[in-house]
Amino acid sequence: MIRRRAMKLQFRDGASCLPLAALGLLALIGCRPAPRAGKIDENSVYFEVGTGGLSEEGRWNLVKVTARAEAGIFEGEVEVSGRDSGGRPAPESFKREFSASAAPQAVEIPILPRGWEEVVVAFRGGGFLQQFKKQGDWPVSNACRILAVSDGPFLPGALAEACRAWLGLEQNQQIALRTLPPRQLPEHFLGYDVADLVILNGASLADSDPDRVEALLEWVRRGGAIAAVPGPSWAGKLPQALLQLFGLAENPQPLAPDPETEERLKMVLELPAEARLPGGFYHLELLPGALAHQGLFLENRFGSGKAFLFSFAPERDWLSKDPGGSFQPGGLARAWQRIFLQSHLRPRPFSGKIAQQVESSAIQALTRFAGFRYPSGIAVLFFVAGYLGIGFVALGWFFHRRKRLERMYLAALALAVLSSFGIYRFGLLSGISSLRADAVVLAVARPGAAEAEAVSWIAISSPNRRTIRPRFPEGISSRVIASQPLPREEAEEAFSSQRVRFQVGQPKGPLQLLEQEYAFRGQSMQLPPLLIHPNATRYCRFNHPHDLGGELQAQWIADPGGEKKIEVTNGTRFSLRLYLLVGRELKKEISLKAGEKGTIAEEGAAAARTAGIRSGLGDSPISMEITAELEAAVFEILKKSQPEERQDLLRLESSRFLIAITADPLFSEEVFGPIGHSVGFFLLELGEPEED
Amino acid sequence: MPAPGSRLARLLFPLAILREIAISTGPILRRELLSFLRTPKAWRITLITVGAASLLPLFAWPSPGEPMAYFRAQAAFVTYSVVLYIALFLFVPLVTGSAITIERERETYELLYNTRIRPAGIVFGKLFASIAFFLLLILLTFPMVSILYLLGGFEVWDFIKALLGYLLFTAILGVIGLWSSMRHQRTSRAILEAFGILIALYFGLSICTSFLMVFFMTVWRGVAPPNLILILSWILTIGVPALLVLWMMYSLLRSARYPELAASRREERRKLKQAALGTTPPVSRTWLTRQLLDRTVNGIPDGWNPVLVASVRSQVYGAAHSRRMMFWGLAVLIFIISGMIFWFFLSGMGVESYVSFSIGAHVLLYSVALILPGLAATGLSGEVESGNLDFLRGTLLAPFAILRGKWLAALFGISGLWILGGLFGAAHLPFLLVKNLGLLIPIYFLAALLLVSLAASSAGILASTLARSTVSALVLAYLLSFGYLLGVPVLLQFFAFWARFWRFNSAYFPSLSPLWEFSQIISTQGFRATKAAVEAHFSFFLSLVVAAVVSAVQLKLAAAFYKNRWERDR
Repeated sequence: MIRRRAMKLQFRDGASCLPLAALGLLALIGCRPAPRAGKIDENSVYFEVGTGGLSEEGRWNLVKVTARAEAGIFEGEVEVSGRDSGGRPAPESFKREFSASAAPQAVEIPILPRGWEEVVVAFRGGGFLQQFKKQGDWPVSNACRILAVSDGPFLPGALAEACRAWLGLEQNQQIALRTLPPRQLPEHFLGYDVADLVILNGASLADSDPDRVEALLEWVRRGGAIAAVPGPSWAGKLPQALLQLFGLAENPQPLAPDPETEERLKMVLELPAEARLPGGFYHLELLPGALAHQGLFLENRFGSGKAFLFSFAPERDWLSKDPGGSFQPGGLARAWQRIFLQSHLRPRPFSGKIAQQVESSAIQALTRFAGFRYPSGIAVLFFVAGYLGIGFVALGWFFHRRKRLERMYLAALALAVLSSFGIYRFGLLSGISSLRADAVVLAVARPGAAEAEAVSWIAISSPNRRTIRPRFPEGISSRVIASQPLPREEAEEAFSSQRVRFQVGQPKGPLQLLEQEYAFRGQSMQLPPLLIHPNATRYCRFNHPHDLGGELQAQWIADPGGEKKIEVTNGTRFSLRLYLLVGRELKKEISLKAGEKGTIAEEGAAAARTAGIRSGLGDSPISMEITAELEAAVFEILKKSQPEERQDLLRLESSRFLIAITADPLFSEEVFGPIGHSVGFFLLELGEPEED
Repeated sequence: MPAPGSRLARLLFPLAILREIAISTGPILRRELLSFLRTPKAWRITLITVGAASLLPLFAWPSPGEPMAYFRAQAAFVTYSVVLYIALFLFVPLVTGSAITIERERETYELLYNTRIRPAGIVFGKLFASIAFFLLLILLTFPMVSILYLLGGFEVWDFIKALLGYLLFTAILGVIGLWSSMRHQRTSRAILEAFGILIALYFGLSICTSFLMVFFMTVWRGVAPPNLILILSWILTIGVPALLVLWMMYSLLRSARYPELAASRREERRKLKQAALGTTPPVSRTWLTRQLLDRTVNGIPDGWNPVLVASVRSQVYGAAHSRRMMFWGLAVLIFIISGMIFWFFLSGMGVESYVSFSIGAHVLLYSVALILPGLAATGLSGEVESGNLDFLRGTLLAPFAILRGKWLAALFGISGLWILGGLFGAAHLPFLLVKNLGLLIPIYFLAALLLVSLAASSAGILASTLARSTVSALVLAYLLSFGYLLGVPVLLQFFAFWARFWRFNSAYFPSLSPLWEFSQIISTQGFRATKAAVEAHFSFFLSLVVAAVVSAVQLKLAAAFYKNRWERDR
């Protein structure tokens, strides 16, 4: 009694000291009044989609967001997401850390919009969430997208003619050309993905941010095409990065001044005779692998991409070892044609269209690999019988005997919760017995490259709910770009005759896609953790450089008898079955084990295969499981890459491809877990023919 | 505890109130829920329900390697949801609608009211006690549904959303039922009102939302902002029911604290007597009842069923007002629907004129199916509970005459809806003839209305002869009625679609029920002269014959059970 009264008193006293106690509690848990977090000034928010105004749905685009804080400092992140025509949020979101003060801050975020009718930029931080929306103004799909890095306007001239000649376009139709000042180069290489061809129009990038120049180089390294037209700013020393890009090296020996050359240079650069030439003279040499066409037009492989450079030397003799001629009007047109064709024909698997062509077939093949595994009907029957038997009959009998039948309901409720949780979390009754990943890989390999540019579709099956954290070998992880298969889009008649497009959204069930949250930190972006549901197969897609285990080389050679042959050197990772595509037919196949060499003769080949490459995997156990659609889709890409139909424009044998197929595991177990079925399609670009 | 009057005490006052309500709720929960859960009857109901739910995954389970198994899972889940929603729609208002009226009919509400239990405690106790068993059944059947998760097609959130939806739906129905129960002395009237509100709420709101969408897509296209339709449809489908339920909760608590009705039946009887002895006729007397009752002023003529006359008289002096409200409410609803659709039709918005007939006919058919089993079931079991049956037993009336009287009285109770149906069909005749759809459709509608009425009322009568209490009779009546009219055809179609061993033509399963068959014939426009039309006519006639047979069998069984009980109790 006394104790209770004491407690009561204590409680009363405590009530009078409530504010003090609350402060004490706050101090105890370490809380203190937080500094006032800055809110984003709504009037300062500005964002634009596209690189230099070039944007396209289904490709990586750049969003540049500018904002400042209203007061204080805003610390948080900015998220770009999309909504479809029905106002539903898209499954992808793109994030980047963002901090701003009273001064406006800008940040660039690559995005991959699909069916976005509305672009939403959200600022999160300091307990605030501020959203800003803008209608997605996506242009119609362009057949050719050119991004010119230039201080002034770029006149396409012969390039436009080349585009039209190849694509059969009408005047000013479906060629998108945008100009970007050199100081506004994208931070991330994905910022260039929207372009088919980047042209440096007189810009030497000497004054540009080296990180941004590196992003441009990374894009070319991953399969991009770049061409440079030198201008006055190229008179000084070029950045080392650009020299590498165009396959040039500076000769350490300085070139002696020559009055006659100086005079010619002034004439070329339109300088007065009494003016002094900027910089000094130096001598550039071609690196191995770089080609000089007609002496005034350089072509260089850079990673998986290609770089072209119009000569900036006043005379052909100045380009070392070149016996060629000089620029003529016809020669200039032919040079632009080659640049355009190389940029257009080169299959870049991570570009939207190529991936889309193969995607449905790849997922169909993966679905066959993964199978549809469900618990047997008998197992379900046993589960139902067990649930009813234990939860209601046995427990009912037990509690009825104890005259506490109502407790049976509590026990049955606990059993219901436990079994539901067991199904969800631990895959109780799951038909899949172990974690497994199946893979379909489509890659393009340049001659002599040790890495192929690949797009992979992965199907991960798991018996229980788990999160997969893919771990790539050192050096590759930062270059992997997560993606996912496209949601389906359908058209439906609305009440009136106006067609309304809507997205079906994420398919569920066996064709479960992963919700992807892209978080950019600096240049790199790693694959996000992948949540796998019990007894489900989920799909993801990502682009990455694939290690070939050494150079995979396929090159034309001429044997002493004069017959043309292709010599293929395999890397050390997997055995390949190779096919030669001539025109629109598959001609000859050979098998190469890892590290082996082999040759394919052009003439006298085996009977042509026109029906596809169904036996590509030979005796592999999965050969029968691969759908004809997948092979046909890959074959179709190859056919489109063949320039044979346009002999008048190309006449270059180097644009032919070999197709290589492997059933060897393409990923180690540490990446996704144990690999089940794996099939890889490599498109090998043949090396340049040897000069006769 | 803080000192009374202190600041802390004032701060904690709402909590203290809640605590007291919780304490008050306890005894009612213990008395009603626990005592029910301890019975073998509750155990049997649970076992049957969970067992029935377990048939869904078993029948929907795919054969190994089937690529589209998640379609099966989704179909099974949809079936589960539909059956569950229909069951909740029928049974929750029944149980909650009788929660307080039963106390009044047993004359125990006065006792309950005079205990130390807070009025709010009575409301919450009755509400929780009534809906808790439903919630328990939903949770216990859920593992059967969660197995479907392994087939894909769902996110966990889908299940959680569905579960929350079931729980919310149960709670809303519970509040509406309890509100009606609080306002009435008799169970039948409370249930009638509860279903009337639900019909108005769900049919009315869904029709309003549909019209709104049509307006947005046609008249206001491009004028109104696109998000407005979303906001308005949310207001209509979520906001209006939520506000209604909140107001009902407030009204319930107020009525519990300050009761407007007499707590005992004695007061009600006194009022009835006064009304009967009064010089002026009751304001709610209608033309039809006048035709019947005016001939019985000087006594019931020979050959007339006295139970029928007494029941009609009781209806006139009791629930006639509610029935007139229901009649006029439905008439206004149908008039508005027809008016809107004709306006759409005349404005050339691509809406066919027979759509108005289709919607109105469905509203009437489902209203009859929803109201009649309850009326028929409470008609007889109410007499049993109030002890009038002993009085009837002392008369010269045969058991079947009593049964027939109650059955006809139940049918008489919805005669207003028949009249409404006839007027409705006649009003649509010119439009149907203009569209060359013929006279058959209104005739089919009236035939379906008649057969649905017979089947539903006979199910109610059968249930009342089988059950011992009014609530049991109500539950059984709706189980039998909707089991036949909706449940059996739906489940048979589901099982026939997925079960490979089934060899019958599942197209004829709707023919079991005129309710379904009428929907089919309207949706497929089977009245047009095609080969399919002949099959549609055949199916419809088949459904009428089946309904007539089912009604006859139910009445025969009711008579047999009632006679046995009569003999046994004698």
